[in-house]
Amino acid sequence: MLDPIEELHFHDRNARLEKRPVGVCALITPFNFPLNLVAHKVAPALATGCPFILKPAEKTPLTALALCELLEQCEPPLPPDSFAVCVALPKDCGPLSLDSSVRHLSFTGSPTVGWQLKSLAQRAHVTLELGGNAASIVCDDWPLEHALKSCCTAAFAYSGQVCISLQRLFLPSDSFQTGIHQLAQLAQQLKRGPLNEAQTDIGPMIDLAAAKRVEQWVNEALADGATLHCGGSRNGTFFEPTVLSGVSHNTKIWQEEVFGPVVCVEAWSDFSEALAAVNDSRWGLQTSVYTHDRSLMEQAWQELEVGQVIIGDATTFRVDEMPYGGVKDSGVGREGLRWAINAMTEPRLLVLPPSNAAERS
Amino acid sequence: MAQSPSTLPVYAPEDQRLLASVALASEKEISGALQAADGTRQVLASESPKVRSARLKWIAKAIQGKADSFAQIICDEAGNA
Repeated sequence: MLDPIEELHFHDRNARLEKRPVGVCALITPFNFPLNLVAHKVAPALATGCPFILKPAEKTPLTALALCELLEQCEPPLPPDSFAVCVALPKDCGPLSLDSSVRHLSFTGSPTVGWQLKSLAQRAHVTLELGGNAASIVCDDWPLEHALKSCCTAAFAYSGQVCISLQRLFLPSDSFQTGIHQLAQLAQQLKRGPLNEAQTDIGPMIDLAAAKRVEQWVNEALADGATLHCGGSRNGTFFEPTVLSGVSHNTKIWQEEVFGPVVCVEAWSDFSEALAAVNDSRWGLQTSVYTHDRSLMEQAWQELEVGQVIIGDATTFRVDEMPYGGVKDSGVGREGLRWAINAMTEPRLLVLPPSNAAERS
Repeated sequence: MAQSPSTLPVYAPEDQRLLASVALASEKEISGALQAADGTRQVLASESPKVRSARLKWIAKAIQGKADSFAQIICDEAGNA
């Protein structure tokens, strides 16, 4: 727990600053991590003493409802009515942004819905964790094989349905041909199988509409001159891990968040230009750079327009404690325990009189 | 005016089998839940960090105790775990 009390001094006054719970929190979560992303919001609410209404994704409400059963039994018990899990259709969710009792709205999901909620939530503090089209830059000094294995996982785990899934990969021009060939080989080795078996690498996409959308975006890119190195096919809700190169920067699959198992690969020869290419996006969530060179790390950190820069690891690197969030269209505010707790508390200040106040009067 | 459905079918992404039908909350019910939650604000705010900490530890332990069950639900409804 954070110490909620801080002693302050202003001129001849002593003061006490406390962090108080803001009040009712509206927590809206996406389908892709039905327990983890719920926990990212529910745990800080419980830690700060905020009542909350949780609205899980309509596609994946069962995990949240199972968690709700545990919360109903917990010790010490939660006060009756202090929380609720509301499975609801979007058309019925107006009160979560409009109701005056809501003091903090935490949303993870699509940018269209997120920004709309923010425009409606006049009285609530809002945290938005939205989309991205994450990029990695692999530098010459990093072992290519290691970087490609890491990138393969980042691009295709959870069938790419992760907001920091690798979507744009920049390889050094000298090793571009070798790299793209090796990446395609790695992608083709990924195993599709029963989801509850540890050796399974690839599962389905969340629904048929999502898989068909990815298929359409890939076909549009191919029609616009992209080269297919592997994948590109759909079987029901399964979409094959797909590696593309020569992708036009005007295509949806380059510009938008694909949220599917597709990675677009480009060659780079000038590091500054590679950074500029990463920044040439409306998204700004997380980028990774594979290098040991401290000057390149520093340049990347200074110039990249993203919430987090990861060195020597995948774009999907995330631990629950770290501040996590985006800039530009990727969102506003940060999650991560300490930062979520900050968002769910507000300062209350007690200013004490000077010690000689009675004499003065 | 078309009536809103009162339940929501949840399907497995892998094979489209029906996993469950869950009750849908109406706009009025969400407003009611918000008002009820707002009524507990002072009670929750007055709890000590020690109480909240104990509660979080209990919940963490309970989730760990049901880890396999949660993993199965996540696999079923999200298609990945």
